Amino acid sequence: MRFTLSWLEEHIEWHDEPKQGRAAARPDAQAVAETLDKIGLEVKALEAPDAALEAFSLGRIVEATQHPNADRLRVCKVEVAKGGKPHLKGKGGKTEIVQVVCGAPNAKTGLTGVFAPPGTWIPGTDVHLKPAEIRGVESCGMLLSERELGISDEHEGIIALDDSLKVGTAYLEATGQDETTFTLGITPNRGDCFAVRGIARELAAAGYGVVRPLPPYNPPTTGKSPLAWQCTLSKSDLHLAPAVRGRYFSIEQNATSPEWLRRRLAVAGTKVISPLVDLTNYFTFDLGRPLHVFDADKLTGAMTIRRARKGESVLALDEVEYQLTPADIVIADGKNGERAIAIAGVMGGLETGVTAETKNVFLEAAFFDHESVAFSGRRHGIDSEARRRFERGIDPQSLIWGERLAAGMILRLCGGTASAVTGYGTPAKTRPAIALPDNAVHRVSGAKIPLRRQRQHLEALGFTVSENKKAKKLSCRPPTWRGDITRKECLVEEILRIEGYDCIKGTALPPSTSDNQKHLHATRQAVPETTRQAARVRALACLRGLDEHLGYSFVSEARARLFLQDGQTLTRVLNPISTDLSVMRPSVLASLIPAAARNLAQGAGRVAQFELGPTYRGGKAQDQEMRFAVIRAGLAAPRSWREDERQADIFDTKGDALAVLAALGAPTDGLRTIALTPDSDSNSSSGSNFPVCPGWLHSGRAGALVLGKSVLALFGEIHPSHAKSLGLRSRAAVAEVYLEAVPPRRKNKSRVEAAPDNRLQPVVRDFAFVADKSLEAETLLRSIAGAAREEIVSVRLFDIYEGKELGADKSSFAVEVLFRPHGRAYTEADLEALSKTITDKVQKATGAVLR
Amino acid sequence: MAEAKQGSESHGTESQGTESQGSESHGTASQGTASQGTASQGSESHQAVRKHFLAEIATAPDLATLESLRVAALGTSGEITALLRGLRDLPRESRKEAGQALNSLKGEVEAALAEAKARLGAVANQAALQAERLDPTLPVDGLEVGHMHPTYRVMEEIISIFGGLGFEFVEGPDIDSTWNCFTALNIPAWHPARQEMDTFYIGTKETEEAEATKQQAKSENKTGDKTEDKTGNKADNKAQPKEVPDTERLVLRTHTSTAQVRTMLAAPPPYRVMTAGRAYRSDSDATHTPMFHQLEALVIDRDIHMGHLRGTIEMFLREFFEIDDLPVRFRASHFPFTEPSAEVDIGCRRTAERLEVGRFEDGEWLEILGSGMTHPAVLQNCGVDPDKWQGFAWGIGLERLAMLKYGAPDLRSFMEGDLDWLRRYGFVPLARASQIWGE
Repeated sequence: MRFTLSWLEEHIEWHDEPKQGRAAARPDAQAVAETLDKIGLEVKALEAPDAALEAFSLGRIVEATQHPNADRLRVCKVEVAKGGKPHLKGKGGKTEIVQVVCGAPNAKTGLTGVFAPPGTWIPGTDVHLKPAEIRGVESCGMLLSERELGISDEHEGIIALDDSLKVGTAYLEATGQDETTFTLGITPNRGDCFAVRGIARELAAAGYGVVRPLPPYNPPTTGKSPLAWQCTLSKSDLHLAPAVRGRYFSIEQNATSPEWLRRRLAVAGTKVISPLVDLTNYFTFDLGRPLHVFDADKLTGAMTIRRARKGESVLALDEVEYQLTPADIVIADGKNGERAIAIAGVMGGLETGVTAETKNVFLEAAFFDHESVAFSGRRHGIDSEARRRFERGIDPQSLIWGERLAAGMILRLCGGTASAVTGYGTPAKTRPAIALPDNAVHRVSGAKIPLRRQRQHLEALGFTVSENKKAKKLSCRPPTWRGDITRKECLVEEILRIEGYDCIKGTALPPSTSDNQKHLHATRQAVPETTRQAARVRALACLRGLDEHLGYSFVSEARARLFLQDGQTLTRVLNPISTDLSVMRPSVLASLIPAAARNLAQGAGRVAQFELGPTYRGGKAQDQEMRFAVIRAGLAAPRSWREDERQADIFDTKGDALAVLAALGAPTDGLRTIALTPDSDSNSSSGSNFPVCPGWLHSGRAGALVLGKSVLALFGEIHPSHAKSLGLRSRAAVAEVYLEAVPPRRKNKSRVEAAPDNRLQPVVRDFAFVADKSLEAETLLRSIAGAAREEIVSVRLFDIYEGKELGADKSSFAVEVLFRPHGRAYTEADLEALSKTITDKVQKATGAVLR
Repeated sequence: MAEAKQGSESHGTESQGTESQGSESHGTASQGTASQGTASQGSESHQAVRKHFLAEIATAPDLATLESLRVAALGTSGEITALLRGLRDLPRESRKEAGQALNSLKGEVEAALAEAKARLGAVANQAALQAERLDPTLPVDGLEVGHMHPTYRVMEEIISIFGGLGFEFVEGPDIDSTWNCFTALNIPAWHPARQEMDTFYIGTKETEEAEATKQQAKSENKTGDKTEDKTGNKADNKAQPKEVPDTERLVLRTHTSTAQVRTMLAAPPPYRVMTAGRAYRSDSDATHTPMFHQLEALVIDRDIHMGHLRGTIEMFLREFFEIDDLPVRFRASHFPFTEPSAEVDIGCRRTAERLEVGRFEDGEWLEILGSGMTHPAVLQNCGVDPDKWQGFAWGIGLERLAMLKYGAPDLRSFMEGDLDWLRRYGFVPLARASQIWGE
């Protein structure tokens, strides 16, 4: 919504004192903007006049003669403001004649143009103007083209303005650009403020003056309209177009609109077309009253309002053919209304539009249902000025006064005669009254505003208010243009915003009235375990040297398919912003790996990143699942003088997964590692139905961490043939932890058993077992630990050796075992016996022999 | 003090040494031969011996030299030992006096030896330690921790602030029904806000099975809202019989307010909750990403009014930005889900390069969050009686807060995972105590 203060003046008489002051001068634009902001009409932009154009004023060519030495040049005597300085606004002043040499073909006697005196800067050509001699003739200043002015590329001729304008007037003033322009963002509830008059009303209520009444107007008429309205909507549909008016005109011209109208439309930001179109646009911006004009000679039969038919289409004013559905309301003509000629409240048709040659006109003023217009507009993707106003609600009464005022303006601008009005339906004259209890404002805001003042605010906004002292309430009837006011909270909002929100004082929250102890004393308990878990995991991951990533929830379909697991369905975004963001990610890795790949591609020598975030097994709310994912590529740790360089591998990410599981409170002692294999038949460990290696993992380098039968995490190396499609140039190890698979921590189970009193010195013994290479380390280690469960405190694998003397298919595992004696210290014989037990049991269970 | 103590210690060790030396000399003394000198002769030669040894001992460069001096003076065939041995040959009357003098000489030399031994021993020790010297300025590993994402950092900060005020943190899913996302929040299908929000729709199983192509997705999105149009209902259903009713259609939530709706539907009032998480809008440019994070708070109780809203927000903004005198302005606005509604602005200063939050002489206002009293229709939709309960809600974008507080300039960077960016704008964990890490 764009306008200026002078436009507002059509509707408001400025007063110096709020409500009852005396007439006053135009207020400061900045102050008005601040007020508008405060009362809920957000000022998006406040544009001051273009200072670069201030020095130019109007000049008129009083005599143009041929240049003696150049065919294409003319020597013009131009009447300009004396001294070249534009006259003060509205003041007028003396003029003088100067000589200007001009090359424009339209530089003829009588032309009123834009004069730039010597010493000024020409913005379009970046030239500082000086008095000059052009081919022997003195030239003192310049008449400007649009390009020289910097307002368009037009340079065929100099600007020719309305001859009725006064010489010496500032160019900006003459063209309505001398004022600050306001641009407002109108909230969806305020259809009434999509009109300059509505904004004037708001300012009046805010204390800037009083609203000027609309002139009562009834145009002189000559007989009945040859075209009549008819409505074929069923009774149950009648609310979609409850009232309409129309009038038939025979006009004298539809060629050019007057300067004032063109200026207003320029401010509003719309194109000037023809007087008929321009004035309907002006009514839309000025009064919020959408109108439409048809070329009556292109209409036949009766003007019909009906539902569109299936398969029907209309070629609209924007030259697009729209396919209609029965949900659309249309205006049609023809004998039985067979031709659709406009989409109701949205846009008129091209075929029946007015042109410069139009002789007879039919004016339409209608009242359409806001929902119906909103849906039609959205369905066809048309965001017209009319739709914007209809869907936000217009004043039903504007049907009556708006049509009459428009009729008057048509006669004024185009001449000719008007018929009597035609139409059906009676727009609502009043809206139902709403009761406002006298304590309502205080109860909602905590602020104390005297009832008399509350009433004043409402009345200033056009409400009819009466007080019922006995019932302790005000009865408030909203004006017809405030369809958004439906309940007492709306009234409270109106009073508060006009009073100003500064009346509301910041207050500390009172204690909750809840009888739930958790709410009364909630501090830490207020944060659910899942959130605290997430925070712990994040801190832990960072301390392990991982950088946090936050990726989009949606990925490309190819990536989503790659990571899709059993029990997950591909979940599409039906209207994605791009194909790269079109499917909900089934795994965090789907967005984490490409991020890591980008970092590697940008030269990061090592990448260690994690994300803790949602994944989606399906398209339902309950299908969301939290996961932790990690990727490591390149060096395992930054290069160091203390340690040898090492590439990150799956044991780094297995460690990450285990650490995260521990932070989540998973029983890490009970976890087992399963080596994932390419097919389910040869599952090496137990033959149970644990997952096979997913396609995106290297089938020789992948494992799962399982607790009982549930998989808590997967880890492994990215499959070499997928690395490329994921953008990875090097090997990368990953892991993903399924947070929701972790059994919840049991409450009240945190007590730790005390250590036995007589602690005896533990004893360390090293063993080396030679086993088949196919033996999984975890099997061996579990077998050792299980051989003397009571006495073995820990088993630690510290070396793996392979060599010719062992045989090609053998490995040697060096293990440190820590024993703790019970009751009495070990004798050498005890330890011998223990060692024998272990080696026997391990050999029996795994085939591994002591080296 | 320290020096004196050291001195007395060396004397202690010295006396021990003297004793053993003494017993040794006694043992060997019987084997020695008598010296020939007289007492007077003796006292002169004593002076020379004394002078010689004390000077040599004082300048001995190392422990080995010192040992050979000891042997030369006090060893079995040392000079002082020989002198002592010579006492036997003296006449009885002069023997006592000479013995005293000699013993004093011996004691003096022994003391000098002990002192020199301690001194040279300390030097030798020091040299041995220096031979093992390490450069303590060498850099250590293990300080290279990763960085937390600023969005989550900001989320934790705010949860900490409101957790202390007794706000319960609740969570909601990203995919939710149109009813939870719009209808319950007083945004009916025809409402212009419904279009402005640019909603992402989620494919259902049926659309998946029907191999929903992009085109279909487009047309569904366009016509999707119409079944709520009560007037057009019948005609529409005839035209497109398979269409899913609008309220059951699934969307990516356009705001985290869905969690408010879920909270109210799940339990009776009062409520004092906050929520945070991902939100989605079909928008992508320099200042919009299709996914972003919001944080919202909802307080519904018997007598909660806009003063409490204002007080809570002022406290929060000043606490969060750590600026006690941060200017905060409330101005009227409109949201379908609150009435009255208020936009909240904070003080700021804009220059060509930066936007700074705070109180400035030439300051401007910066829109920071939307708020208001929860609309009675929203309460009603969620089964809360608006005649008995009232309260407020507000919501804020987390990325924007992070940008304002920590200066991260570009919204899109938040989702790119660039390591340089993260190391600049991310956070080291545990750098600040967080309420939500506790047990």
